[in-house]
Amino acid sequence: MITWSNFIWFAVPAVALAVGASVVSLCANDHWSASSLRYRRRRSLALAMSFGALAVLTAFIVGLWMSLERPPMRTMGETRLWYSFFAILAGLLTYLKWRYRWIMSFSTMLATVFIVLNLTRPEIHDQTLMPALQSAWFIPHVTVYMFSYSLLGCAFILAVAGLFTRSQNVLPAADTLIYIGTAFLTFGMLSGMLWAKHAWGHYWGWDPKETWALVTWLVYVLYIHLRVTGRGSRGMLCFLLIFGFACLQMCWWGINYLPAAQDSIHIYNR
Amino acid sequence: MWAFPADFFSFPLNLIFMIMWIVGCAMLWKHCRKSLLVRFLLAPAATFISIGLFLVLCLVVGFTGWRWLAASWFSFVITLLLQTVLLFVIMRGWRRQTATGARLGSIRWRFLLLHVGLLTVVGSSFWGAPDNQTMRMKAYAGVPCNEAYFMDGRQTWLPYDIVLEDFDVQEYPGGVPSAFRAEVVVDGVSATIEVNDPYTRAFGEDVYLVGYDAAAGPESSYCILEIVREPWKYITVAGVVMLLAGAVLLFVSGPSKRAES
Repeated sequence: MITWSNFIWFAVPAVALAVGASVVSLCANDHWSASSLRYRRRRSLALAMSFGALAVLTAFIVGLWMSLERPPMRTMGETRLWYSFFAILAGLLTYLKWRYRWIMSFSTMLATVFIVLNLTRPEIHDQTLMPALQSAWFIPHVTVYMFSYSLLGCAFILAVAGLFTRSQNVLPAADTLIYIGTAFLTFGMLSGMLWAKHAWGHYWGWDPKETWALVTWLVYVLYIHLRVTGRGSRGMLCFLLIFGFACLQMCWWGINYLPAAQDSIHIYNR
Repeated sequence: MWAFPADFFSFPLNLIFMIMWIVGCAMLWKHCRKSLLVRFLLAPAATFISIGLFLVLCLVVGFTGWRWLAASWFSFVITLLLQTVLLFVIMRGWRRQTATGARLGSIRWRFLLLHVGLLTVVGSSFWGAPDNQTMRMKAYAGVPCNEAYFMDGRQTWLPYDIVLEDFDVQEYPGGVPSAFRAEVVVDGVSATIEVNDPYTRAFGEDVYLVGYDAAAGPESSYCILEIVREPWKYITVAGVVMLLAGAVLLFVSGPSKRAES
């Protein structure tokens, strides 16, 4: 049986592999030709190590799912676990597509923060699943959101890089991440609406979680409209992406600490 | 003081006003295309302003928890502006489509699905809101009941009886409920209601199981039912489906060429 008390045995190898992948991809020189042997060797090794990290986390998630006898998607710790997994995946996909050699360092950092939080926080051992969550909507709703959050996390990294470096134009890459991330935010919000109607009787109730999910969605929708119409300076657009990521964190866990949001009915992950 | 008197606009007034609004916008679009108002509504600035105002409204609700704002004059005006901008943008998009001769392959499915879908979701919630009714009822085992209360405490009587036949709670060790269900007879038809499994009594009218005497646990003598009437709910579903399809296209086809240049 794999439980949270075994997590350290999965966390250490996963982080080690992800850090290894980051270091290897970072060590390639920008001047190396993409077809040169030394570049391709580094790249393959980085990709293999990143896949390894994902495989280790997958093994833990599957084992935890089996031992909990319910989908591990309810508590804060469980959503953090999925976020770490998807952050590494999103970093890997961004590296595959755009070859930014520094992207995996940041996505690994993001994943590591949440893995370490899970190692140090004890409130993750809860096995109960309340009736409101016993629904076919539960798994798609949570995974879709966590996947979207990790893509938008990568876009956040690009935006920070775009603010501090003048050399590369990161916005075209950020655009693709934002389009896919916003599509998945939309899936998450609409599945939430349909589920809310089925479980609570109303599509929308201005619950703090719902309100902040809408705030996040609107920020990214605003970004897309600014880009499509060609408005906004690069700095302003990067700032908007950083603001969107802050709203996303508010929606995910920030509202747990927001006095005005204590009456939320999305209280499962406290 | 700032509350919008939504109840006043219940059916058929909401439908009449909605049609007047659509026809008014269409007339404006057809006959005054060069006017300042139409040019403003179609300018990118109007899109940014309407999304931005809606964003500010949501941020205020998010930080303060003032849900009344969502039913106030502020959100009435902002939501109406958002819908008007959406409607004009859709009309322009449709005209560009038909002006170039709409072949199936050239239809801008993504644009249309996303914008019409969003307008349908927002519009059905907005114009349908005056027709929504939410009532709660405390049903005791074996006692036919038709007395219910609106959420603001006003008493009302349903045109039919609900009888609670049987009620069952299962708990995890530690007293957290793992499942609860109620066997009820609604208007002579027996049904099982659970959380996440309501009973549909009529078109747009569903009965939900909300709670029970949590202190008494499995020995609870009553359960709380919620009767929700939402006649426009299937229009919202239609909008949700369009938005979902549009989001799939957002994922599949990615950023438009214009954004990349």
